[in-house]
Amino acid sequence: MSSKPSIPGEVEEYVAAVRRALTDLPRAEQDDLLAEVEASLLEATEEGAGPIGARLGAPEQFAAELRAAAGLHEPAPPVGRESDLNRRLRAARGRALAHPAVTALRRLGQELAPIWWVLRAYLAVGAIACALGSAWSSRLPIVPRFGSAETGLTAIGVAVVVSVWLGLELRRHGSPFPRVAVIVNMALLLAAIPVVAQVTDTSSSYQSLLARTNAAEQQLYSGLIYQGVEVDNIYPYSRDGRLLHDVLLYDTTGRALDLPAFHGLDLNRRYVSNGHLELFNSFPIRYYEPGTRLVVRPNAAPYVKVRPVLTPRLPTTKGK
Amino acid sequence: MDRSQLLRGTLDAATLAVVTEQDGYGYDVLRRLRAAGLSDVGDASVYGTLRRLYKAGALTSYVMPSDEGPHRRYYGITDLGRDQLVEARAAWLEFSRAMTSLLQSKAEVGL
Repeated sequence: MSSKPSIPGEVEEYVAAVRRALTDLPRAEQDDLLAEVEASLLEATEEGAGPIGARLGAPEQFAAELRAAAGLHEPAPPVGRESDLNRRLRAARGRALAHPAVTALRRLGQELAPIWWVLRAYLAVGAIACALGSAWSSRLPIVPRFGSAETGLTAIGVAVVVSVWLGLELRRHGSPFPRVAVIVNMALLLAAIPVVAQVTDTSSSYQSLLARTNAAEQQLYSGLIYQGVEVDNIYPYSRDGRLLHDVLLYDTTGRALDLPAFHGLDLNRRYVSNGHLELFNSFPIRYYEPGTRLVVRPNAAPYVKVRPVLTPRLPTTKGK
Repeated sequence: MDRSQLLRGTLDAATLAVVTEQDGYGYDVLRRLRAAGLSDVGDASVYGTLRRLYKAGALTSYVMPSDEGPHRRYYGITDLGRDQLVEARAAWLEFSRAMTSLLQSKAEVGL
């Protein structure tokens, strides 16, 4: 069984071939049966019993005899009339599953399964959020909001605990419905598509919101922004609907609402001055006809129908 | 008549009988069966039968370290196996007596 000194290749090959014919049996059953076979084959070989194949026949035949004598069920009976292709595929699958690389991979998969348990819990919560059309947290784009991001985080936490518990239980006792387990896991894997799409979308829209906000903040230093959009001119009207000229605008803190030339000095812009300084908060901004110092249409304005103010006038202040 | 067909129904009893004499491992049981005259008993049939009898509780098993080669799994008889052997022996004796007398008289008629 263990502490194999050196197993002749012939024996090793034969035992491997027998194992391939028994892959449908539980692993422990295979190991016990084959340990017996291997030990006996070694002893027979040492006694010089001749080539294994000649003595024992084909490994598949040997496996069938072993199985029958041990009272073990036959490999899963084919449903209906199995085509030759199906049989070959089944045999290939058996061989592939018995391959050492595949076995190693399956073992690795088992070891990594807990990572999937955590991931599938998250996917389940994400899928529910997608199905319900819930909003997703913008600061933590991977967290769906069920009312709040905290609720979302709690839901994920609970789902992880349940999923890991379920995984451990099923690993310990085996799944009563293995097919259902496979289908549910596959469905959760597919749920990754909408969830990842949602997360990417949320995160990129948050990024672009940040970018827009940053851009807007920067532009505040060099111009005017109204509802996130650059304002390139302002047209003030009097209460009776007449377009006013050279109106100076200030905000609450006394800052001039300057609209300087953004892209270098605009040669055609009509700058107004208080005699010392050029004023950039004078509206509407007017433009000269190129090459002249003449504003051709001083009353040009956007197409707006200005309704006159009917509320009584405020008392005018005397003096300045 | 194909001897392997005859063997099929009696291999359990033959195996139990061999192990009752002395505990043995797979290849050893096979060798003793062959030495007893069951020359065409199949390797796989013996290993499978040992395994089945062990799982049914008729045999017990233990592993003995071996200096040369792999450890050997020895099989020994249990009380259940002994009961089973007693039953099998009685059934076989009755059956073989019947068959013997039947075949002998038939043969004499034929002659």
